Amino acid sequence: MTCQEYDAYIDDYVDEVPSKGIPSKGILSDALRAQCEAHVSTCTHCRALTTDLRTIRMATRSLEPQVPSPQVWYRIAAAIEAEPHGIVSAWFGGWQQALAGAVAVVLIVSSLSWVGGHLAPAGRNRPASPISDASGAPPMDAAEFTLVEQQYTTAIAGLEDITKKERATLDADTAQVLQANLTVIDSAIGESRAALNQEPESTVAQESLVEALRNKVVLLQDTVALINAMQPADADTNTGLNQ
Amino acid sequence: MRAVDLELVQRCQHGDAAAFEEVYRAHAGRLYSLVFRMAGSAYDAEDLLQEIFLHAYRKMASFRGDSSLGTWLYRLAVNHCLDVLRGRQAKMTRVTDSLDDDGAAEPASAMPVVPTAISRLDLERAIARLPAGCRAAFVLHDVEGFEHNEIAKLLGVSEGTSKSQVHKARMKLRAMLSGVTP
Repeated sequence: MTCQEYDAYIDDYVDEVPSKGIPSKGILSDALRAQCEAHVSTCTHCRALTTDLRTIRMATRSLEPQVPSPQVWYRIAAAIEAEPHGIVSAWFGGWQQALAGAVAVVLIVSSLSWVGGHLAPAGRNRPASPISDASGAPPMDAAEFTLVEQQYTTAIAGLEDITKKERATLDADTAQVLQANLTVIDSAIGESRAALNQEPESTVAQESLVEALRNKVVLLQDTVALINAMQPADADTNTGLNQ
Repeated sequence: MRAVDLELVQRCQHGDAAAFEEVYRAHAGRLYSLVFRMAGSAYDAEDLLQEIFLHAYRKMASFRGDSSLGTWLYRLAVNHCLDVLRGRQAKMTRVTDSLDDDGAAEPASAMPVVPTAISRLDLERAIARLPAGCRAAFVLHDVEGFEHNEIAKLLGVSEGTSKSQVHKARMKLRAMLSGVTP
């Protein structure tokens, strides 16, 4: 078998690599497999290529599941809520009540999308993408910075309002950890504001403040997500959703 | 169809909101992993996942139970991903043609060039960098375990083209993981 001939079978040959100790089902005939093995044993170039493709094949099989952010379900729930009544008439009622908190979160998250688009590196207010963390965000002028700061501040106020009302939903340990993190972030916000007061034109201080505000929004979003995650069982009990 | 699926679907069809959330919780992980790799970005994947479940929600009343709920949702997800990819690329055949013309830089080496222990993060990044059509065939075959004849039907290409796409993807991955720009 020549390299060119082997090239026609290499993928099938690679696909026969055993998985978890169990041989894959035969793709090649015994005769072809023997010819491939014979070629690989004598051709260093094809052997190297085969080894690499098998390494990739094995690594691909071991890829772990990816997990969507909690916000996806809230967006779905909110979208269902907005469906025309003719389609979802049977879903109205308890569904509406149960989703009220989630919808509020979605609205707040949506209001932040403009902020994220103008200020934060793409995707910073959502779980970090494992693929790309390229920023490309242009620097802001003073007016834009002020506007962005106001947007964050408003969003934080809204989120804090929800978390204060629903704080009892969380267990004491979780609430304590969240509060400790909030204290750290608030401290960073205070230090950044102090630096900005001293040097209002400092882009480093601006970025520091915005980063701290963004961290607070993310933490509060996560807190609200936790609160919402705790609510369905209670909602079912309270509203008789399943009755 | 499993009894538990049947009960869940019936509850959904009767407007039980909690049941649809159960459907989401049970299947979102697997579907997200699929769309994440098909789309090539977490941002697009979340949008796609949302669209898929909304589509499923609207079609739930017509679900007849010919297959399991998971299989039904999975097909829905695959088809939706492919529709979106086709929309982006105009036609999958054009993607295929461009891929066939696009010679991947093949590291000519008598020694393996890919590290024996590839980090999952590096591999995920490399998969995300694959051209869309090439990536779809690769994900369906190497990650999701479809056979080439099944991929050919899904993508609307020949079985040979499916094999060619997967080969191109593997060669590009080899180049990327060896540090050679494809």
